[in-house]
Amino acid sequence: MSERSITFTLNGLKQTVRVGEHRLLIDLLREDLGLTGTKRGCGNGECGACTVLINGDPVASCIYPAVKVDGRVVMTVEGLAKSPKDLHPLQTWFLKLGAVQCGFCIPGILMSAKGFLERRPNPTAEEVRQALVGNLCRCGGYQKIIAAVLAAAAELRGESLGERKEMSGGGALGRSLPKLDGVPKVTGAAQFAADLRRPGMLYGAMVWSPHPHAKIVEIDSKRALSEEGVVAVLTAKDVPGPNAYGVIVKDQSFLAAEKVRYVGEPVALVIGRDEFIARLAAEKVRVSYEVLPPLFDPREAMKPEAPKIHDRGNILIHRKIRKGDIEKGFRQAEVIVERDFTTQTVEHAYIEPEAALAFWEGEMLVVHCCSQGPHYHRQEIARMLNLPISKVRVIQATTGGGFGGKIDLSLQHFVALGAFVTGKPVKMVWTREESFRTSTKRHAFYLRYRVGATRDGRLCAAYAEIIGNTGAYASFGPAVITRSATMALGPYDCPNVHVDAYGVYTNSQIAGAMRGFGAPQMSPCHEPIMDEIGRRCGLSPLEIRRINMLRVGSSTVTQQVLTAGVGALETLEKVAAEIE
Amino acid sequence: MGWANYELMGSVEETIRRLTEERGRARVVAGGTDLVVQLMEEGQREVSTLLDISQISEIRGITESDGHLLIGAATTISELASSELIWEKARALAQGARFLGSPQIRNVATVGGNVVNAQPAADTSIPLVALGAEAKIVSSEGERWVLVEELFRGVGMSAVDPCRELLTQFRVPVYEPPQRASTMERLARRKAFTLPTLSVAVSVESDRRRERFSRARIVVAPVAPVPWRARRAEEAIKGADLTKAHIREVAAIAREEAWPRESLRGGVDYRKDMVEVLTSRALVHVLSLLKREPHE
Repeated sequence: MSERSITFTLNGLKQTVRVGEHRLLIDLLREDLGLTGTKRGCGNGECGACTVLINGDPVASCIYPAVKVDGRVVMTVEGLAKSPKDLHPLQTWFLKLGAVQCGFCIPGILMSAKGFLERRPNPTAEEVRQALVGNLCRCGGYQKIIAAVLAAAAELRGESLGERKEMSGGGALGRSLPKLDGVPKVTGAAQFAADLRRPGMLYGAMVWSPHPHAKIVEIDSKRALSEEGVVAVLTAKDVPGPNAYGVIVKDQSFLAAEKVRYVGEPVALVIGRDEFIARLAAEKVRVSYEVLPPLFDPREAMKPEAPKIHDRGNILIHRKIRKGDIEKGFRQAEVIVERDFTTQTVEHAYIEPEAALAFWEGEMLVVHCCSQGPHYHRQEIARMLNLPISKVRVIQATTGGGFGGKIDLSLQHFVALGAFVTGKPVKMVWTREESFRTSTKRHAFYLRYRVGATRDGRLCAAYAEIIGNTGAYASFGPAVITRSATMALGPYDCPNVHVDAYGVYTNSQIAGAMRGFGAPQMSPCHEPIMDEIGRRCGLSPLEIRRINMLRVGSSTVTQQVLTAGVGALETLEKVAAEIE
Repeated sequence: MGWANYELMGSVEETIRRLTEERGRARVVAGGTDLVVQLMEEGQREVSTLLDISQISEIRGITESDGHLLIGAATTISELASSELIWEKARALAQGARFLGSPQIRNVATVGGNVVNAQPAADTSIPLVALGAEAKIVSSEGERWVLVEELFRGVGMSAVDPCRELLTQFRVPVYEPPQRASTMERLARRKAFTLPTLSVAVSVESDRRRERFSRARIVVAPVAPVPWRARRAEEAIKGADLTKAHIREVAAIAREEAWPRESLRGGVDYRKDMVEVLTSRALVHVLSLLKREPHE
């Protein structure tokens, strides 16, 4: 690997640095120069989080060889504001109009917008949209971002916009307040877990299963351990406490012990002096497997004769709901609609891939990580290491999107184990591929519905069978399946209900928590059924819903009588008013 | 993973010299938006040195000479997309450049790289083939001009050997109204930053009175491992009146002779249907550029 001296202008200052010819601009900026405002979201030039300006043009720094900036002018998000008190109009409008949510995509979007407005000071909304097609955001949607770019453009052209009208009233109530951690998110100063470092820090890399279902015969770490810079190769044997975790059912190993149950399941952890060394050594850990037949379809996996993925059987949960008399309900029915549905697996795809850093602070093991559940992470890490919970601190770093996917442990336990064993700080950052492969997903469902109504459109019987693919481990499966059962009829009232909801283990990726938690899978089922019943009864989509919607005094599918705060009908009427 | 040495070339001559010296251990890279990702993922250990030609000024920029546009191979896609000359005289190429990737990609990716990367539906390859463009290939043995169409050997396989030679320039015949025009139609699952389900680029020439097609090139992709010409349709259009009925006929022929593959981006039947739809749209649009409303 050769090195070269390059000279370039960075955020207005001339720099001369030595850089390896094999390195990328993003690494020069983040690692050598400490400018961590530029983010790595995908490593493929697809997501735009790494966007910087080179000679004024937006460029993806994660696929741009560093030596190419020799003699050029580079601008990163850190160069946008004159000072944290004197923000660029793009930054102030992003804050004022609420365009900043998690903040991970924001530096890249700001740079794209900056480069674009230099060329096109008076753009239309459509042109702004086109200019930002290379920047993905998963939290906020794009509307506020586009509005903020247009507002900043107007200010830059010297047009006065006036302050946005604040709602009246004293104090904070009823007013739009700037985000508490907003400023660091638009200047690049916000510290996400991948931005943290510690002197003497080591890196962790995963060895993962290439098989969906297999027995682990042997793990041979000799070749990996003999590599220069490799400190340790950790396996299930190195877990001091019980090797089992899970938020509801403790059915998952911190590192796979006897069996692997999905492609991407972590089997060993390599700790090395830097990321490159650790990743290269991880490829050299030899794991021998005895491959077992995999199961991917929960309908197959729930059959009694199916091979067992877990010893206690493949049905994780069977949630039943019985209300009224379903037989009687169908006897009364004058219209019956039967439909089957499937819904797909969904990846959260937060733009920030998982990252964490652990180190000892005296007798306290400290873990900084992206997280939606630091308390849960703390419990599991303490159990894994046989430490009293008072000796473990988990600190949530600024987190770049989660949507439920960062409640589970992902790599927090790995850095903790690495620091525990080596005594040194250990950091880990997943690639986009690792994040896709190993993180949890939204449950895919197979659904079967049979719903009856009387001629006047009133529901009288509802039967639903829900089979959820919970993947290799339970995660939040039992809770998601329960939620789907209780939401099987959405906001509709029916006296006779029969629901069987199953969460079934397969050798697919683990399904866990994701926005809506089992309820969103139900909407594309009960809504078309309502439309169809309406059609058969000669009622409009609005009318059939007005008749059946839950209201104060209704009894839900779980027979809870609603006494207050039932907003469904009111929502429907507002929508109706907009339509008409 | 990746490469060991990365050298910025100052001239074509220097590049040839370095390629010769390295005897296959070095290869040419331009914008690198595809190659860098490929090398980081797969690693090509035998090639340890990348010779970057993207900053060589003699192979950048767009000029017009003698009925042709001369386009340096290291011209970025953004430069193509915003060039008035390209918009006026090689419309399909301007459209292809605007479809390609995102601003971040277009600012770095080059037209030469897009062609040598040899993906069958590359957004600038399709129009270059439709326009009958030629490419200049330079090696230690000298230089040669080759039709762009002949540079494709298979998916990802170019006739240009990046360890031995480099593509320096394109020569694109001008297609400018009133008698000549070109256009591109592209269908994809999203409106931006996504690969095409199907693209069709056409160039046509009419007779002097603008009543008949004298010839046309119709390029469809991805329906084959290389950019594919609907030759039977091209044959059928020769001498045909500029009418909607003829356009329908020609588009139906293109549909019949195209054999697309099933892929994530579209099924066989759907793609075949779309060959007809997009060919027809492209021909109607190209007539509007000739200021000819096709009559029934």
